[in-house]
Amino acid sequence: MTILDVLYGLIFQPQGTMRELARTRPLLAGFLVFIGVYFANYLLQEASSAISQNGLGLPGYASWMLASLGAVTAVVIWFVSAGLFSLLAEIIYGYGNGKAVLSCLGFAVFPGILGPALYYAAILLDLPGVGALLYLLSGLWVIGLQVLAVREALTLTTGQAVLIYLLPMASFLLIGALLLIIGGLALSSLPLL
Amino acid sequence: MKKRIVIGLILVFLLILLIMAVQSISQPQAGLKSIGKIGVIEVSGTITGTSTSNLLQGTTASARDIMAIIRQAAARQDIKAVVLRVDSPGGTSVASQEIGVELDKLRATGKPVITSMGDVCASGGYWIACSTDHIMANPATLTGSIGVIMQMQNIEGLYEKLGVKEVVIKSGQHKDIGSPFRDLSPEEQQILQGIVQDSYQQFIDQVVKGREGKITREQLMPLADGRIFTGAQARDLGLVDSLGDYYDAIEQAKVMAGIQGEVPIEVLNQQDMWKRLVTSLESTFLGNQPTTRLYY
Repeated sequence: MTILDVLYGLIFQPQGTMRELARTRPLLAGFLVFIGVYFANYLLQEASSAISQNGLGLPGYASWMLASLGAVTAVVIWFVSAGLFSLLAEIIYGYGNGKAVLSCLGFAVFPGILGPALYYAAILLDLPGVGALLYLLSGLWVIGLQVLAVREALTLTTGQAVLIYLLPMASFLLIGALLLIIGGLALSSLPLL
Repeated sequence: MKKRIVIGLILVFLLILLIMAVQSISQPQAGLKSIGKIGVIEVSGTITGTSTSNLLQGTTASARDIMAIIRQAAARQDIKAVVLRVDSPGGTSVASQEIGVELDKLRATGKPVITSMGDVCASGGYWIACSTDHIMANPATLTGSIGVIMQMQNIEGLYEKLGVKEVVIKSGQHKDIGSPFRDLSPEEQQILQGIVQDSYQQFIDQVVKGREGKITREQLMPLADGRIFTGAQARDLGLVDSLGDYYDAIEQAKVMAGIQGEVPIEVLNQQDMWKRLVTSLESTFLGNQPTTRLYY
């Protein structure tokens, strides 16, 4: 499978492509797609902000510093997510495959480039509403592909993959809510002036 | 084959958008739509040659930055007119002159430039205002102060108390003119007075040129002794064209640019947090040593 076959497959035949990626586990290609999509998205978002005059107005070097920092963070999150998904699947279903999850998740972000690209095109055509909608749809597409990536890489059912995908996020939300409640209670017990 | 064509088309589409994105970032006006805008350039604080601001001093208006913004306004197709918002007591003579020259070049492109005076627009601030097509002041604005000043300190007495003696080896008689370690000689005083007078003459010429048809050299001379005026007094004397606030100046810009209806306003040199911080640190730690300079 060439890289063009993979990219085509991610858009038009995602299930079979993810299965093949889970089998071959092309980690380097996955990384290149992931980082390429990240920087392309950053560039397109900056351009959209520049046109609609709502950017941060950062000078060039600060902007690229921020982009590089964001890229490192995104790669760390990608690694941690893959590890977490694999670990959870191993704990709950007795099978983990970190490298396959990592490779598949790397490729799963590819349609995500269409969101910022179409949003930018829509801004140029003075149709920001349509652009925002397309952006949202592309985000949902990526989420769907990520669930598919988890499913194919860990040979799970769709329900199991959704559970594995949502579990870390749900846990973070729960812990966050608990901390807020505890913090709120602690604050309310303080004497007020 | 079909796969390659489809993915190829998608990739080409993305590549074109990425190239356009790079253009948009380098030139924010690039796009399919081209709406005219009023550009606002803020000149706040003492006008200086380089530093933008210093953590240890007040705000300064860097001529280098302002000139770059003026050139940008001249080059940008979407900027139809420029409002120069001046809130400055003046600054170094060269910095004011450089800004004035760039404003003249901007006007030569056919874009009207309007000055909107804030609290103070005096001396060097007034110099640059004279390089604009229309000067608008608030009635209570302080303006004028047409003149040149050169100030030096003599800290010879302090050095004596500290037991420090300066040793000077110079190639010529006047190489240490303006030295803070001794009094000026009458000859040196004459030389420096000549410089101040020449610079003052340049200021007079700038005002006469900028206010042509509104005030004559003969009318100007009695007013050009360094005194300040309120905006209302300056209007009556012909030093400013009209009274009004910032938004009136925007309206004036629209009228002079022939723009009707609502128009976006873009502050061209709005300082972001990062740049302010970086330039402040740069200026504080790497700033120029104070030297004798002429001030308007």
